Amino acid sequence: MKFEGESRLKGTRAAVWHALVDPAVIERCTPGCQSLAIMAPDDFELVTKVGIASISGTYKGRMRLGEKVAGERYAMSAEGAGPIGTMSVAGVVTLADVGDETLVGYAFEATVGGAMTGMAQRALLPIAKLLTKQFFKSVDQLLAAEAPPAADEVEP
Amino acid sequence: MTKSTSKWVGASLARKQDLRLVTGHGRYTDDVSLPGMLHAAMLRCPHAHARIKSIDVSRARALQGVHAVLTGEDAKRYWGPLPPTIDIGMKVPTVYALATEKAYYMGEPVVAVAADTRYLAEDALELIDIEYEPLAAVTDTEAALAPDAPLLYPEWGDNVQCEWGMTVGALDETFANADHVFEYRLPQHRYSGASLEARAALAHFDAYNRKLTLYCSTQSPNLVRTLVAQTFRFPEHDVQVIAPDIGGGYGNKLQADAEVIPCLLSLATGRPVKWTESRQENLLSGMQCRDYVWYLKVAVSRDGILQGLDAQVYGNVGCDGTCHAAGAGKFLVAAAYVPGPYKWQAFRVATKVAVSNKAPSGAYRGYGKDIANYPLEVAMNRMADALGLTPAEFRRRNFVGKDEFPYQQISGPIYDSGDYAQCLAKLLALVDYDGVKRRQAETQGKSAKYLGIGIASMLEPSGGAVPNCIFNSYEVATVRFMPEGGVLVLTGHQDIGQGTETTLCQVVADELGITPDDVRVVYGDTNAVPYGMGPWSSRGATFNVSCIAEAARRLKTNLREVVANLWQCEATRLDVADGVVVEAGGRTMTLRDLGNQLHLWPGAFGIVPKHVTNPFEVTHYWTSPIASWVPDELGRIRLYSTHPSGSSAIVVEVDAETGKIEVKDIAIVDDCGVIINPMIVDGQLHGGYVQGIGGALMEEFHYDERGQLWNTDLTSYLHPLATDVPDIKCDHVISPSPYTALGTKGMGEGSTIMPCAVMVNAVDDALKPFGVRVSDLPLTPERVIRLLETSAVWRDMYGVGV
Repeated sequence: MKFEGESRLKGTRAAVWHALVDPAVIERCTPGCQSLAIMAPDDFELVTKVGIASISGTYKGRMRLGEKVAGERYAMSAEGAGPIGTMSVAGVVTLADVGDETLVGYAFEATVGGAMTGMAQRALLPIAKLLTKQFFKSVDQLLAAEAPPAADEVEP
Repeated sequence: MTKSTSKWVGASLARKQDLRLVTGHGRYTDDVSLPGMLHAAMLRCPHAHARIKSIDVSRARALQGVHAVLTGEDAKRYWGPLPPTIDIGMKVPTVYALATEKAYYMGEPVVAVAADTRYLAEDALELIDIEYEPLAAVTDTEAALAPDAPLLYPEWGDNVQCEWGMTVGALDETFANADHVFEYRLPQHRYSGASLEARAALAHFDAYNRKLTLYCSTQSPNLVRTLVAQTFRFPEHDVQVIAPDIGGGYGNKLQADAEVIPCLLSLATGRPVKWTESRQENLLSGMQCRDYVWYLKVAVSRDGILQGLDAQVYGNVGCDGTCHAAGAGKFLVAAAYVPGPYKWQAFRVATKVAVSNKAPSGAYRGYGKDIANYPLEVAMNRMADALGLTPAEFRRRNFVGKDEFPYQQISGPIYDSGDYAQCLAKLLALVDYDGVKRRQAETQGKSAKYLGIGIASMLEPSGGAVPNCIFNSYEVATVRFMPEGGVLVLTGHQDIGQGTETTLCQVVADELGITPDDVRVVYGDTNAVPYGMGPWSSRGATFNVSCIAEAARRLKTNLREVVANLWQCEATRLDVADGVVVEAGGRTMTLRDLGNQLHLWPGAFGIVPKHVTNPFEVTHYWTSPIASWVPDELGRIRLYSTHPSGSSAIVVEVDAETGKIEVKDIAIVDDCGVIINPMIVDGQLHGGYVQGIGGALMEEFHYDERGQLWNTDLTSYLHPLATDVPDIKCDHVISPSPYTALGTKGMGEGSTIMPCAVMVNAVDDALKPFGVRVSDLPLTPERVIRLLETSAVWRDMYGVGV
């Protein structure tokens, strides 16, 4: 099951890069993330709570970042298990300039096992897309909040 | 003894249970609640094959309202491995109802929880931490048998659960001299019998009485009692199994598999524990069926006479076909019956049954007779086509003739009765075969819809008597005469929707000269009935009906002796009709009077003559006179007591643009011997046939190569609906069996046995202009289009850039 997409984030490529590979940001922005423990550099253990319909429950998993080319691309792989099965995701995230902003592209391949296998194509794909979008949106909001506000935004 | 009149047998009596069922008064296992009852949930393995490295249940145990959390290792304190349900030279694995070191299929229960509510029990599952080491999995039958396949049970050295074969006649010579030799490979996919009510079990271990009571949705309460007792090494006489109304059982409720888990939890908590299986659980781990591939080689003379059959079947029983359920045996039945209703000079068969990382395999309406029917009946049409004969004419030339019974088939069984040619002749008239062929010729090519007609003949060996398994060889039942003149029938048989609660009353009413309303059938409680075995192998109309008819006859004889003693006349001068004992040209006495006199006024001591052993009730033991476990000189044994038969036809319209198959007409001619209740028989034919069409057109478990099951709900695992089939036409041929008490034969499976072959023959016929032939089932629109894509004719007409 493959899915891909892109998100436009307010921030320079360098700022976005630092945010995306920062465990603290990952912990804050991963939807439903309950905890993130750093096992080794770029190797995290996550507990996330998903509250979407039939796959709701707490999922425990491992996320690894690799093949990092600073400011340009990195590979991400994650695998987890929850009440209704197992899921693993692997893929590549790329960064590109769009004016003063950054276009983040991603292409993931997900494999599922257990009871969720049957729902995978029909229900999980939109859910995976939704969660991914949510993640990048949160990063975007975080960046916007931390960035010095633009002049016109301070005006009452 | 006067011959009993047939007043009720043959009548379409309304079913006794329907009033309570349609007015909402049915009581199923899930409707039963006991004080202090807990609810069970099971954590299931997400992998098809995995080693269990560690299980941590501490968080689940700590949850308020959770009373027990047991792993497979914990459970060993209470139970042993699942006992075999069948072992005819099979490898029996040591497996438990909760996985221990390894899990063998996706969905296998690993941890069981009992909690105050089902919600809480399900929540507790989320708090269990398990570390698995996934192992290589194998799902395909032939891949499982390959030398390099991952092994489920390494101690076996291979994945073969059993193999068997036989050769009869001069096979090599027959094939060497044959005018034609035809070869086919015909696989069938994995699907299952779906009952509206999935599995359900409510167990109550009563520590005060040291008694285990199990309410259970099962076809055979007595067999479940034995299996539960063996699993827990618990005294069998201290186990009581109660089966209330059953929401369908098609062979898939003939074991104690997950049903022992609520028993385990009740033993551990001392509280009643209920488990009602969800549909997803049922699709994941309820017993699955079919799943095999045949290789057939057939020698035929130039005038269309079958000579030699050389057949191999490779079956796939998932992780097990012996302990979880008795699926392995069906491939032996298939091997014995692949010769079908035809005559042969030489025969060889070999069967090999593989284990794989799929759910366990059990019985499903047919139990191998369907597996025997499918390849040969498809081959019959294809060979007829090659020989330039009609499918009917080719069959007629090879049928066992109606005057040849009892006929010993080359593979060993003795066919008791039948008239195969008449079944077929009636079928052709019923479906207007010639008319359909004419319409086909007229309409062909005028639109994208292609008309086709398929037929097949069928043999439905019924009343199995199989050694070394739970499908054993006898029936025992009691007919009891009550003080007020009414009659109780106490039987281990179970009404699972097939209507025995009604038909047995009809049988007893005729035998005793009373009405069906004077009779009550007591079933579904092991502490109330003799150790009879329940409905499977379409054995009700052979074993159970014969047993109860004989018991009733003996009871009537005893009652006549009592009255003869009272009246000081010859018993031969007495008969019972309409509830009244009548002396030829003389006195009368109602059965109520007789019951009163026997039990109360004055009572038995005063009126029962010394030679009458028991006028109150007769418990009779019945077994088949033609089944035999003594091998003949060729090593053949005879396991079935009657051989019902039939033919059926399907007319389809295949849309060459969309691949959709529309069923336009269905006709069935069935020969189940004497018919007890025509309405029920036709109902069975209708239901069974539609169920078979489900397997032919849509039902399929989609396991991927990792052993992941993709369709675990009813939006992706499809069943046929009433709108998918037209009205079904039924007709009958009646060849009574000489080997049953009333001439009845089984009839519960025949209609499910046929449809796959008939459907393939119909679709082959429809698609003949494209020069393609069906190879795989089910025939979903997508699969039909894939098949058509292989046709150059189709690609020219409809293909898009192929």
